[in-house]
Amino acid sequence: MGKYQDTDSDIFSLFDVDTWTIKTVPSNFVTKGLEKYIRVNIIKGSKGIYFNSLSGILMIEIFISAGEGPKELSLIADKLDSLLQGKTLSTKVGAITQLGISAMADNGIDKDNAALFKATYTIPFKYFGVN
Amino acid sequence: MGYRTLLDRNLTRAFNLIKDLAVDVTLIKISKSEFDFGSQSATTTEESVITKAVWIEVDEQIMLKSATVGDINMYSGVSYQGKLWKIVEILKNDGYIVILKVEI
Repeated sequence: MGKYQDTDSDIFSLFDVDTWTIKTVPSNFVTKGLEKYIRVNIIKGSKGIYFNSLSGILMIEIFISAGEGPKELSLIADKLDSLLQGKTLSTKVGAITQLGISAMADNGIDKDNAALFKATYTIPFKYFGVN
Repeated sequence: MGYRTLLDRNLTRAFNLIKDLAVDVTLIKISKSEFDFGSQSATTTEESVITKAVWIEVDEQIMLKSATVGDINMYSGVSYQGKLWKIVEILKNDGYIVILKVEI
């Protein structure tokens, strides 16, 4: 696999555990009818320091019920921190993905579903592949 | 009889009066969708609901009775005579009539 698929495999592997119970979907996935969930977008943004490396941002959209305050957003963000922040991942021998420090911003009512409130949790990452 | 019931009954009557202009279509409803992060594959379960509909613009806009479909946001497509249209926009939904913009 190449650096883009390796990055997907590394990051997605974190959500493929029984202890992660928050409904989680990737980008380009049908979400009609979901009430509370997170959507994982892996933005493979810029080139790395050598040919088979890259830098990017893991952008996670958090959707909760509208009108219930920020408490649940912070709860989910803290759980995401426990899962992601500062982690070093490797699903391919010799290649690693390193996750950095997170941030979160409110986005207001979801434009596609007024019953949901949305926030965006971001965390930078770097991938170092095998040449 | 309340006004809502009166309106619903008259809508049903109107759909009956236009005879074969109202056709049976199948609405495709996504009832469950899951993503497996291990295999990175998606699985969806679909249900279908057969209801009367009127083509306002052929292959572009279709009109349905709200009472027979429930929450229109749960549907992803319309099937008719072996062809499948994707629902791209809900043009009108006043609780009685739903008008959908569709495309193949």
